[in-house]
Amino acid sequence: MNKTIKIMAFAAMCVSASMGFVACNDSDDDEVVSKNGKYVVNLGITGADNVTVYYTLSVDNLMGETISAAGQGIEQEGYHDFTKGGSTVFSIGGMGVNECSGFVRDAEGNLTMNGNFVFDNTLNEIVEADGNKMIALDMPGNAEVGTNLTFYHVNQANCSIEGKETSISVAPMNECDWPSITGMAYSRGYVYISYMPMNSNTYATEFTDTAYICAYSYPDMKLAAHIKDARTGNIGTWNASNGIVKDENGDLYLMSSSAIGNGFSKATKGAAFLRIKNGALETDADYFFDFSAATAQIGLYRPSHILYLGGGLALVEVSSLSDEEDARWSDLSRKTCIVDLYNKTVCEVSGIPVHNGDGGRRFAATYSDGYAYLSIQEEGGRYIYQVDPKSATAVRGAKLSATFLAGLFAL
Amino acid sequence: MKITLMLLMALAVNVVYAQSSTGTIYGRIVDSDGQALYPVAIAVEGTSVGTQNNADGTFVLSGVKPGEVMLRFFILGSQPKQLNVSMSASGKVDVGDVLLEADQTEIDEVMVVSKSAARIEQEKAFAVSVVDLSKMYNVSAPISKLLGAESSVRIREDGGMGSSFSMSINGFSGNQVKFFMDGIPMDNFGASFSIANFSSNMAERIDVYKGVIPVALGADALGGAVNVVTRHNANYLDASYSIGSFNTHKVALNGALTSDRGLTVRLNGFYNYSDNDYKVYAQVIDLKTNAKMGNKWVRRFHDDYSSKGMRLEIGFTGRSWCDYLLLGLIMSENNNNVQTGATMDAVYGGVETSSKSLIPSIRFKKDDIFVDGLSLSVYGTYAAVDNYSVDTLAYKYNWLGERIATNNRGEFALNDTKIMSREWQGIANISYVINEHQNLTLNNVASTIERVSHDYANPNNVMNDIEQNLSKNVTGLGYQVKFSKWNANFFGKFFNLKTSTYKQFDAYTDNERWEKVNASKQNLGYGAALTYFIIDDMQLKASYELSCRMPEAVEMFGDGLLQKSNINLKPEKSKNLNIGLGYCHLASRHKISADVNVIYRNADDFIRKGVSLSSNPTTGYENLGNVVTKGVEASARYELASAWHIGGNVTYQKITDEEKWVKISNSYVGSTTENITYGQKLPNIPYLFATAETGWAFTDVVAKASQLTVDYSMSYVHEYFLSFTGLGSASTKKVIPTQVSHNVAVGYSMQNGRYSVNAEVGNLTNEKLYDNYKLQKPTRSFSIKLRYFISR
Repeated sequence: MNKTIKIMAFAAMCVSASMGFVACNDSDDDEVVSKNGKYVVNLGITGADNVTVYYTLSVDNLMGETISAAGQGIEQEGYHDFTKGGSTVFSIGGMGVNECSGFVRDAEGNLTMNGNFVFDNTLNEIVEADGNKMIALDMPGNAEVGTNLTFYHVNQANCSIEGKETSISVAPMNECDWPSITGMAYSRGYVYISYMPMNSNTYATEFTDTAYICAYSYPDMKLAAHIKDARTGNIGTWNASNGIVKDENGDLYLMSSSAIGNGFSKATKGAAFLRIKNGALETDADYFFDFSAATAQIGLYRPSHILYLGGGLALVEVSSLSDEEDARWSDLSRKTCIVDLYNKTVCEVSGIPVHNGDGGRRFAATYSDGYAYLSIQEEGGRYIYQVDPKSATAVRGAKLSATFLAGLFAL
Repeated sequence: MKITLMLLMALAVNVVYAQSSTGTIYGRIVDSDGQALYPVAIAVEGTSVGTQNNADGTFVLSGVKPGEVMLRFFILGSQPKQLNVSMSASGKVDVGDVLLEADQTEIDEVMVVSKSAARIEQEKAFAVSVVDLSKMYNVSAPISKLLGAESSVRIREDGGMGSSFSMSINGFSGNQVKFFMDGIPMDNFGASFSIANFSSNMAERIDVYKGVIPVALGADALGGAVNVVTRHNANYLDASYSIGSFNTHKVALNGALTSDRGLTVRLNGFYNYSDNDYKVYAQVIDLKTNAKMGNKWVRRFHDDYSSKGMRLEIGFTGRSWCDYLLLGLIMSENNNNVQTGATMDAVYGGVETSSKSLIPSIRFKKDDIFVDGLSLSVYGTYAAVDNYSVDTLAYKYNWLGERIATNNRGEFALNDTKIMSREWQGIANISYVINEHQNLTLNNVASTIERVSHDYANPNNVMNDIEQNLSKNVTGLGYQVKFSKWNANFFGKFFNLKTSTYKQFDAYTDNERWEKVNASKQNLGYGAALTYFIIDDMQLKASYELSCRMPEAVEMFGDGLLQKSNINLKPEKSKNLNIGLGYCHLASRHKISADVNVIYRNADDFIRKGVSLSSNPTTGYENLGNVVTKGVEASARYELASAWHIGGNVTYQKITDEEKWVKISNSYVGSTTENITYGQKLPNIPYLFATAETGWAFTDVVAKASQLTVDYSMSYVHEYFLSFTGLGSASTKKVIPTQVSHNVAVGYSMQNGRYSVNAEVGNLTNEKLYDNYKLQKPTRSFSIKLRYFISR
């Protein structure tokens, strides 16, 4: 073989090799649109690159085989939080910005995204107020960052900001330490905010023996009351939006756990529920639900997540570890209970294994057609569980092909 | 082929002192431009005494008997040349600069047939791409950009000059790829003394090692290394100034002066400035209503960047007692206004970073020290680097440059931080030539770094002033065996790491305290590189290394406060294999070369934040993941004398997630969960890309000894997804679209390159270019570079 031929043969080999690579480009998967369904499922998937991406799917059956984002679902990058208001599921977050978009169903029942705006900073809370409005709160992370709260009035229908209140001071929430917001609810002209004082430098929680709530008049957001109640400890837990639930009468139930596993550096009071009656600016002196006492027989549980179902019943995730056994923020050894807030009873749900919690995030659970749905991480996978609150029994449903469940809504 | 040889005794023959009955001859081989000529074999006629010169042209020939001797110089592709030297009994003769000059009329042919230093490097058994900068001294792009033209290498930039950039080799990036300058690890030299600020005029060439790294580069690099080889000319001045779009100015001043007695001064200096106010297509927010107003073409308004720096070395070169002994000082600083966050959706008006470096150094090298064939080089540096970042404004900006007051200070995250790092680094390299076929290399890199940070905006931050120390020692032993048809390198590397920091114990109890914690870690790596010349023009290469990256202090100990420590953390590991076929044919006026390489990487135990099902702030670092890369790269180039050249390369790499199960931290039930993305291609990494270039040179246009050049280059990157391919509906997936960019340059030089001017157009077709999602790179730009170069 002479040299020219060799050169040409080699060059041809290189060219054909490179052509071959160009040709083996992956073809895109066929698109599956998010069709009509009863539920909206927000899947969080953390990949090998340690990046989490969210997929929002419309799902008709939570009790089927597998719910997966393969080839379907609306993709969103960056950290996102999901919450429902009216007939919109709001998605808040993004890559370096805090975009707000709303998932709604169109005339055909298909899931679409509407409205687009940005919040100035990361939100602490967003809840439904009255008149198709949402109220959102953004609080500086520590005193150096700022000393005023920012409230946003959000229109549910067109997903837009209608107004901002920026002149309200963080005080008096910061009177013992910097507040960490644990819950928010609207009821008859007031917005109630629960918080736990937490040192923003050392994360120590030194003031765990009192329940703290601030109430602001709505919609002008003026401070109406600073409510304290020493019958139990701080309301709600770190970052979990679990401090306050509202029943059909507009009464607010305040959940206190003060558990090490839920992010406290010390626990000084037992777990309990308090009540603020519809429109009141103080806790109801006649109502005290000693949760520790109610569960003393079955294991001295501490509540960590709550979903209000109706008729005074709530689905509650509890920690079954004692403070001595628990590690801070560990959120281990969870059980699921049906709690009757009116009759002050606790009933363990059978059929759900002891599991690891979803602390430090919103409780992804929903109530629909008489059943509550939540997801449980088990060895090898994450599954939907359907809970019948009347019988306190649960049935395992679909497997979730996801790292975690970021949101679950009936829509 | 006829070449005339002129041997000049440029310097007087200096007789130094006697040491033994045999003596040493030393000198330097240069071409008519005063540029080092390399490689040249030198032998004493009628004896077995011989050596090869160094890349800087210098040579030391020891073991020469006294009397009249004839030196013979063998240069590749031409007849041997000779020089008579009178060797005195006292033992040392400096023949100074030996000029090997070719006949003017046939200079092209000489240049074609002699292999460049770059080609010699390329022919080593290692998988290495060599960027021959000596051919690019007229371009205005910094070194970092020029690397992007190599196969398997991607440079990803967030924006214009000074924007953060990452370089990836076969998908490895960040601290998995290490940078060196003349063999010195420069990862702790600071942001200002960086390849993104270096002009091409500073260095001779850049070696890009893919996966398998020679012993002489001692560092824990998982996926590759880049070595910038600076210029070694004895006497030269290279000054350039370039002005371009977006108010961009670049000044580079490089030079060296060497006296007859070897007293040497070397200087590399740079100054860069740009407003970076190019237009981008970005989302505009109405600051009053917070509503999105849609995408508009807007001008960047807070992105100006400046950097300046110099590296000065003073000492001796080419002396009998040293090949070089140089004291050096690097001083550099930069100032960077930060325009955007993770994407262009986050727009800032007051975020700034800056950096200052002060790095004294000393280096020494001597061949044939104590005994023939033994060489020693040592290097010592102290790097004092201060980095600052400021984000304290209580304003929100939009892309129109408008702002509105907010309740929160810090547009991204409030901080006014100074991070100080102080690093001592010592390197010793001993090599010994056992015989003409074998040599041994022992290399040791010892470094210790201390880091302290202070956030002035958060004076109560408990992590303020907490010290972190990391000492690393990398010892490498290499053995090379070399025959005409084949050669092989075998090496082992031993990594020893010691780290310490302070950590809080018994938090929130009466016993709360900070204690110093220590950990050490050892790891062994090894590999081999083999090459075989199937025929003279065709070379087969194979190399393998078990490489590692050692954990950092923060990875082992967390943040000291909340994050858990994990002193059992293993190093990140990768098995790197390259197999390649290279072809290079040199004919009288033609040169054709082509390479095809197959790449395999199997990396696991990546050091990453653990996967926690709750957003548990105490989650520490763990060894996670298994990623396999299979890739192939091909390149080809043709040169017709120096009149025309054309070349290009293409890279395809398939990087897949091979971790079946993911370990979950803090789990009560079950310790693992299914990995949803098992078997899928890793997202946000380009997997198919190519570059091509061609250029024409016309000599003696208008004036004698002038040259007119026209160059064109293009770059292609196939579209890729920001997230895993198989997930989500196609219409909502975020894509970094396919991009083709074109650059054109026209240059004219006079008096054999003494004066040159080069005009360039970057991004000729004004494409919207992105390396990273929603971070647009500069639009079409013009620049003109003026250069003055002399050497002797």
